[in-house]
Amino acid sequence: MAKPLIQVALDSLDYEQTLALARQAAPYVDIIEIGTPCLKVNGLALVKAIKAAHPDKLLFVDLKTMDAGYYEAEPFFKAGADITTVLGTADLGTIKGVVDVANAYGKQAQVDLINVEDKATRATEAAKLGAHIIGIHTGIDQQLAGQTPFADLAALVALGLNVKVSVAGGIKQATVQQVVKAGPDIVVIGGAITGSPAAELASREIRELVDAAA
Amino acid sequence: MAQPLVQMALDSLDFDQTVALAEKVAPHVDILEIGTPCIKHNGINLLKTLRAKFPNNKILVDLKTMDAGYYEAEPFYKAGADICTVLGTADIGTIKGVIDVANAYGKEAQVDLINVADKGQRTKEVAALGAHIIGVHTGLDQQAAGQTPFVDLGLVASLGLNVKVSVAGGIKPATVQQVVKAGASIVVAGAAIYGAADPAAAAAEITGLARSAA
Repeated sequence: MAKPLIQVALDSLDYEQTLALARQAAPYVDIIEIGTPCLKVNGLALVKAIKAAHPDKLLFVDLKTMDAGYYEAEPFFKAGADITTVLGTADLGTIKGVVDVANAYGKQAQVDLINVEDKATRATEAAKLGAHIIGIHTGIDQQLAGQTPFADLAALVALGLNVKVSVAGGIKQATVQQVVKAGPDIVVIGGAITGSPAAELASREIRELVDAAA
Repeated sequence: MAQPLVQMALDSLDFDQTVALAEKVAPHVDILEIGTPCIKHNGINLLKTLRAKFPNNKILVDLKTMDAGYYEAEPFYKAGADICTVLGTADIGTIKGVIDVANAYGKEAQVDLINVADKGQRTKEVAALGAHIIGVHTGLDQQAAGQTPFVDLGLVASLGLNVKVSVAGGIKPATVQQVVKAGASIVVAGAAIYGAADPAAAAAEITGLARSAA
């Protein structure tokens, strides 16, 4: 089984704390994600700061774009983002806009299936448009209601689309190996690292568990 | 009919240009909107700047929240936002989170119906949750495909629910009175103002038309 990439989701609202967490996690992860609330509070300046501090990591900006796809995503690709996200519940024209601008910069667009009703149909449509990554995503508010991403992940992988598959939603040490075995290309870890009193240690644990499972 | 409010959507990405445009139009509109690409680009500092400069206008931050409703919106209400938006395509728990935090700060939550499949059903659900404003919204990418918000406005207004209705999507002087007569309590203008040779005059014209239609 190919080894999936590990993505750390930085969901603090504080600029300095976000930079500190990125430093602690960076040695053990492949992708650094600036989470949506974090991005909305801190803006493009934080994207530039993370890119400058971690030029060897892929930089993921969780824009969750819902409209004006090309216009909204372009400055982030310009500033060094490698991946930005567009919502699966957006108009297909919006999704196409983000795919197009990603291609224009030689970068990648991820379609986030959060709260999409018919995930298989939307994933197939997005793949046809040229989306690079499909994100299976159980949101924070959905996790609070007891949901997990495991069933959706298996269903998406089973479609066998020619896209990478990313999975996010409360994945932690106890569940990461189960997730890896389901075959995603990218595994996203948030609270299990950023909510840990020892973020660096938690990152290393996740790395070791992923390597051992793959 | 209650006096309709006029909202100006600030959709530039540039900080100084956004403030300069707000200075021109603020005396002629009720609500200043920080558009989604603009807030993602500039972060919360732009809200703080506009809040300090324009104490007499309401400020809407178009967060288009899709997850972590309470957590994402809270810092913006704290920083002086009067209205934040949450996507109608979000999980109902996310919508409830934004309504709850709006109420905690004595502010308002707007549910944006952009790309919602069953707008009547969703409107009823979120009105029951206590949403303050329903946003009928034809996105920029949908406008580019020839769509308008007029039919959806008729549908939402006909439900007769106890919520304000905001309408956005290419509204201009020629259409503003039609929108007010169809039941809009808030009329959003963007390009019709910032694309005009004299944005202050264009804002005054639209506000005058909206008021005289009521």
